Amino acid sequence: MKTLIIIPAYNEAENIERVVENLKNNYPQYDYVVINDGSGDNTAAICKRNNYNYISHSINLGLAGAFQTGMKYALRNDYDAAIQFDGDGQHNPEYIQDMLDKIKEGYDIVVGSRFAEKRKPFSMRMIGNNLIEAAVLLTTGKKIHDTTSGMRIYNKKMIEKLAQGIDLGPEPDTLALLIRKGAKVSEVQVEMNERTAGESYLTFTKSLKYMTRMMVSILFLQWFRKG
Amino acid sequence: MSVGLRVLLIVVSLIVMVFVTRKIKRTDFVVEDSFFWIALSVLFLIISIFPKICYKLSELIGFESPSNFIFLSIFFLLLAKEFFMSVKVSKLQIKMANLIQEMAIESNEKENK
Repeated sequence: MKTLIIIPAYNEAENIERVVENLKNNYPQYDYVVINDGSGDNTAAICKRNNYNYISHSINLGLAGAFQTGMKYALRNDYDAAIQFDGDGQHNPEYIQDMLDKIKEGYDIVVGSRFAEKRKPFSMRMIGNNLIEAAVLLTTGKKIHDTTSGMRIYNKKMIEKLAQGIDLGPEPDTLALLIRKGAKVSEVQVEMNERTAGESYLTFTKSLKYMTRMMVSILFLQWFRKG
Repeated sequence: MSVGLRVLLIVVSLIVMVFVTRKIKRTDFVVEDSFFWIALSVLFLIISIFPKICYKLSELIGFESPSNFIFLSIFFLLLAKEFFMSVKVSKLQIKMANLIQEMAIESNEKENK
């Protein structure tokens, strides 16, 4: 199964080398592509120097845009599966095989889930996580334990949709929309790492904004969207 | 409608006209997009010259004063304009993203040949 690892990277100069070297050395069976999303630091220079396979946006498009570029690349190069992988080293490539096995079983999307088998810890962030989970359950009838996980793998059918669709960013609302349009989704238990460098973009007000947007999108706008 | 409001409408109408034509001259503005503003300026002119149209219309709908009717109509008109502007910006964003993505992928393909 021809598999592509898509690594969106925005100002990840501190992390990108470690992430890509790990993939190149320990997981040579997968292809990878770094999507440098108009970084202001020397992410692109590092990729060029190390001769990585990378695509560079001339200006910043945001995560959704970078993710879609990866999907377009996967579609053009005829990949059977594509996985979204964080540029900051939060995701562990050791779980990719388990996730791929699920794709082979016939699932369209497999989520690398922190809570497929383990219980959620109690925190503000998890309350948000639960709210989104409830909204997805309500609108699709499907229980996804970790809707906000950024580690998701997609089969060929989904690659085509995500590459050609409009406004299908790698977020829970897209997941809900795809499920309602017939995508089969499964979860695989994974462990994620804490960030070792750089800072998370999630501040309190940003989280609140994100939550509001997700709830409106999933509960209301979803019914009018094409997918 | 007071004489003051009528004069104001005429002045605004002329100012809008001057702005639009100057922008067109400097090619800061595409002809297509200027139509809305020209129409608006003509509308102001008509209202100020023939305020009777407004009296009739506001009476018909039931406004107490024609100026209220004018304010509300212009308010709605601008809201509608703003809405379509939003739609246009969205479309431009999608087009821009597509363009950047295609450019980026192509330059990657060239390098790997």
